[in-house]
Amino acid sequence: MKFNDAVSGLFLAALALVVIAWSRTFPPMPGQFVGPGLFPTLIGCGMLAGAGLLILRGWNARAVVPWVALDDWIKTPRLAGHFALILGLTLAYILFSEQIGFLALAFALLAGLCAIGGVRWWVNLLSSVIGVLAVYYMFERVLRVPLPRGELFDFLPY
Amino acid sequence: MQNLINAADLLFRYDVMFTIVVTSFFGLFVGAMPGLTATMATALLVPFTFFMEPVPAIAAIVTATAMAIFSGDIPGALLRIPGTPASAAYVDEAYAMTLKGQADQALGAGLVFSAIGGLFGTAVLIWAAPALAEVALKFSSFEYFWLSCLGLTCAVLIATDRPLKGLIALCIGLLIACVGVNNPAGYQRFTFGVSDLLGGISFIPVLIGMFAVPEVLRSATDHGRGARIAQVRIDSVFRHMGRYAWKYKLGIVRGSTIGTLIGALPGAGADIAAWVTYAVSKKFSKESEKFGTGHIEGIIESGSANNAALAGAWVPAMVFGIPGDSITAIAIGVLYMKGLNPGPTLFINKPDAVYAIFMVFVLANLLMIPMGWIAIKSAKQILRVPKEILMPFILLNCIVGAYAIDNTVFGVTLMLFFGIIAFAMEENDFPVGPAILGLVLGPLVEENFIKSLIKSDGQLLQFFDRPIAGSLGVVTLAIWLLPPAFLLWRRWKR
Repeated sequence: MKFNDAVSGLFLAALALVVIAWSRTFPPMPGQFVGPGLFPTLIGCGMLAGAGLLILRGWNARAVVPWVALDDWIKTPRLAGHFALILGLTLAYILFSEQIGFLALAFALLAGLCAIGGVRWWVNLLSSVIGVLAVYYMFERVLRVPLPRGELFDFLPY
Repeated sequence: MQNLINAADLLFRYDVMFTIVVTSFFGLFVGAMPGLTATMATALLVPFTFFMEPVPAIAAIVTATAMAIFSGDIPGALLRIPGTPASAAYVDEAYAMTLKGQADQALGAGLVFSAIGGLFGTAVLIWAAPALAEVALKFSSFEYFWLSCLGLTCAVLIATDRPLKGLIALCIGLLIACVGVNNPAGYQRFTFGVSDLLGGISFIPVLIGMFAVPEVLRSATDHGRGARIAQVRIDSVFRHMGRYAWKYKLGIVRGSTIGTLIGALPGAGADIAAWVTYAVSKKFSKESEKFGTGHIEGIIESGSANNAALAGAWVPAMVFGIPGDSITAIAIGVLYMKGLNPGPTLFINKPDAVYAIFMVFVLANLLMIPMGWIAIKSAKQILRVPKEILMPFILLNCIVGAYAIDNTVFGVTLMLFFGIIAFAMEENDFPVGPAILGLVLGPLVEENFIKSLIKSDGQLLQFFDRPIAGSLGVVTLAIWLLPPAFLLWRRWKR
């Protein structure tokens, strides 16, 4: 999704203003004339200036550059679905890994994404199982990272 | 001498050698896969380096990136798709050679002269870094402040073709660095009441998010079948290389020198080095009319330049803690994580580690020859690995890598958040590199700025009092102010 520079500029200008306003509320260091707000304020000002120029540039180009342009992939259900699945499965990992555990969620992630990518089912099954076990072995056994076991699978021996 | 022996003791161990060999294969594979960059290879390696000793951790990064920059030439020659941006400059030339049945020579030149360029850059690193460190020992917060500003300016102006968007990306990186209590006042900034943000935003999840996740997302938006591999026989990779080395000796030295210098410029890396040297090679060549038709001269010069740039980028990184490119920005993060804080004192406090890093560069570039030969011979198999299987696997590694830093899903949340931000930035032509440089340099700039302000009691002219600080300050201000001034003057004249 491509935005006209004026749209991006407006968003960035708003962000810069929030940063500047928030930074002005930070107290100065005891006994000093500077404080923790100075540096973020300066960055905010730099960003605001940059955003201003961006708005100007976008406004001048408004005749040829639309405010928002949707890429072709967003209009193709399979590609948009693939994109959404990557985000959805990662979000699912964040939300449910403690309950469901690494092995099941990692398998769902690999198998789901391979499936939507058009990988044949038996290749998908094989590569997903090998992929999950390889990552599990590398991180859990070699690097000793305690990957989430999952409350639902507490009964399993691993 | 004792330092050298200690460094050799740190380096020539089974576990370090094993790490170097494994990361060589990893770097070669990532570099050879179109769409996966040397920076992404580094980002994916960082979670593993978290669990390593300092020397193998740095060895892993140096080896993987050197190999990846070379192996980016492989799909360039066989598919006309550069494996990494550093190979893009001469991809048409290499492919034209392949069509003429000279793929082995194109790849051989890429391999041999990458190693030579890498060794040249390493020699400069070994010579220049300790000498510069002597000078840098006398630096105060004023010099460091201007040096960081100069570095960030170069990152915006030289490293990107869109300085305005580069500037905004840099501000985003600097703002990310402001989160948490890691500021001179120790005050809680922009934490939104989230306790996980108190210590600041973890560098590794941001890195993985910004460099690896967008590639995975982009792969989803493009389901085009892979390009056809050129049907060629690759016989003797090393044939004629001695003859080429003699014939183009001047070009090799010129390419390696320019490559090292561009690498050492903060913000500019291997890809810019390759573009510049390819253009220089064409300009000064006696056979410039042959460029573009499958002529090996440009490949030799820019192939040596991009690997020389890798080592060159480590000069400001090790001496001043200012990254030469995105890869050294990541490496600086790893150096801090491992207690090898970059700066001139590193050369005094940990000389054995410094020498070990130098040795790693030499070793990696020598190892490139046999490893690269294996990669070239197995190129067709590497290029057949389906992206539909590889990308989900990379995503899983990103998730686990981000989780492994402090064993919480908060790292994964950060990774996803910054991955989406970086994807949106790149879709709208905002470069991500300056954001990472801002993230790494932010604390250094702020600390030296506040320190200098307090020392000078708010008198800004004192920022120019010391000779080196003054010169750096004037140069930096000139770079900031002269281009817009010229622009306004030209408009006014019209």
